[in-house]
Amino acid sequence: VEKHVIGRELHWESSIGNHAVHIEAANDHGTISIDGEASPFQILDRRPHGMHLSFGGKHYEIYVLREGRVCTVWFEGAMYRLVQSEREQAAHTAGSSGASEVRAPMAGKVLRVEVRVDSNVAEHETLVILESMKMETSIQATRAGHITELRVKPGDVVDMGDLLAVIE
Amino acid sequence: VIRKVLVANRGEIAVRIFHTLREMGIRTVAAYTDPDARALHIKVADESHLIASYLDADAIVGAALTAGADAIHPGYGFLSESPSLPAACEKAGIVFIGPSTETIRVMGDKLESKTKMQAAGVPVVPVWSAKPPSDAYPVLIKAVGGGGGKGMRLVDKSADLDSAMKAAAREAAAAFGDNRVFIEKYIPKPRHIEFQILGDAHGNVVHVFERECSIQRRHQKIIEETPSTAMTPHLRAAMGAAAVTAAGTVGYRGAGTVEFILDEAGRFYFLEMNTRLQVEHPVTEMTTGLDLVREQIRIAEGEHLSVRQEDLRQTGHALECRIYAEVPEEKFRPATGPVAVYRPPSGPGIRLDSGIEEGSLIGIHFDPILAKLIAWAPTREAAIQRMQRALGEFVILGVQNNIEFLRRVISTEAFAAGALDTQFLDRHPDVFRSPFTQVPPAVLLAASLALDGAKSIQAPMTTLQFKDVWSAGEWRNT
Repeated sequence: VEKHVIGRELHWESSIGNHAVHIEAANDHGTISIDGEASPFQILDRRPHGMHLSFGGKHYEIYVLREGRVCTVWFEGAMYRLVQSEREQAAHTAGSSGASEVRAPMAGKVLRVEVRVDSNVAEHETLVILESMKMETSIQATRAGHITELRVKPGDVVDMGDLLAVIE
Repeated sequence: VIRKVLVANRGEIAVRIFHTLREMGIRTVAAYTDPDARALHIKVADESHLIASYLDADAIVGAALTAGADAIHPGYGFLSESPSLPAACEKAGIVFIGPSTETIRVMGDKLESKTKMQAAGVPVVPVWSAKPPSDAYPVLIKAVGGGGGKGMRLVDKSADLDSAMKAAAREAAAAFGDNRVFIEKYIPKPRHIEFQILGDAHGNVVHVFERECSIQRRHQKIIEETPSTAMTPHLRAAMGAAAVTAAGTVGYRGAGTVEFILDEAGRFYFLEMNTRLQVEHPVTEMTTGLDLVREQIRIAEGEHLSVRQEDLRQTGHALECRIYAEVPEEKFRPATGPVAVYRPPSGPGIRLDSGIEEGSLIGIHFDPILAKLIAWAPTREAAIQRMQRALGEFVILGVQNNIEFLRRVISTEAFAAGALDTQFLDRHPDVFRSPFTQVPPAVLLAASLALDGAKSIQAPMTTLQFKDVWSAGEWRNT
């Protein structure tokens, strides 16, 4: 089984408070630090838009819908709207030396890949065609540049937020 | 005998009617318009037919003829209270599951119906067709052609009457194609109490008790219940008798609802009669065991009512919450979008009449009702607790909705005390605010994990999830 490792610095904004989050995880275990306070967590189950988490001694069933920088979260009968702050995004881009990640805006099946690694693309040029809900969506280059990574091939099923390509 | 029925409606009510038809062994036909090509109600029916509009009586009757249906059920809204549909049915030799064209016409005229009821001895609210006496204010302007708050205006003083009449007339013309309005005495802090009626073709009429529908927004109901906390056995008998008189006066055939307002002193007044199945009919079904759609079909077949007044009993308490695609915190603005996550509640005493499923697209074309959640329990207190539990478990993500708001409303002390009237929401502005002042850590964790887009730790997905593909760039049908 491929090991899935993440480590991220995030800033979340909402109408009821802003928070700095650092999250580290290897597969289904990890640590989240919220405004400097660290706690361990475990992902017990993960499905499209839904996850079952063990955190702070309790189990939680939580649903999340991500649309760009906005996450709508259903938690214990209440809805929360969180926005990933611009500050964090800028820092993230700088940290990856000017590279732009192109991620799947939704789940779907990769129908076609229109570019090759090491090729140059123009802004808005189609990179990948995804099929979802019997509809095709073209995923376009967010900027002009050089394709340094291409993570998908036709037939792959991707989850929302999955990395498709990197443009430098 | 009815063997095949076309339902001239959509959404949860079409699905609910299909359920009973299937139980009765009757073939089902859905009608749909273009935006509904993938709607749930089509999938539940045996066959479906494309029509130009849910408001086109000839197209609906044409679809019924093509399908070989012998009857049409109108549901609520759309053409359910328009004489045009039963008239078109009659011409085509198709049974209309509802009252006669003439009953619909008389009761649809909100002024004529009041006059008729007054003549029959049913108490009505004082009405005027033009300038009321100066001591009558405040008054309410209402549309002759229909209800639902459209064309309605509250006027405090005579100086404001003219401009309000004109505005109401414009609104009424747009909503009902009829610009006539009338003036009604305004009853402060009224409760909205209605009685379910069943009448057969043989002159039998019964009432199936009351429903309280006082929790309203923009003059439309959002929470209904039975029994009403305002009711005493004596008042129930008096109002029930008045409802039976009202229905009997027009020779009512089918299921209908007589609406009253009840003032603070316990006086009641006839408001209007709805000549169709009511949105909130499930609370009556849950407390009496009747299937009102089954009764409608039996009556349309010419059978006698299956129950006598003295056989009818109410057991326990039922509440209904209307789940709308709307944002209560933003003046109930309608919301649209795809239903990305749909996790309905279940369990003892819970009934869900739903017109949506995961993947449904909520568009701009129709009323924003998504579903109705009904909770039954032996007592009102237990029914509220059950509804709180079910609303707290109900997940709809992707289209904004009023689930959280409804839970806040039924969780107020005033609601628990049964102190209801139609201005309840105006007097309880707290229900429009979330009580939460901090983002729970688990929410931050979940959002952070979702952002990472980590792979499922379970087996690979077998079904595609649905997202707002319409905002994701170019798309086309495949």
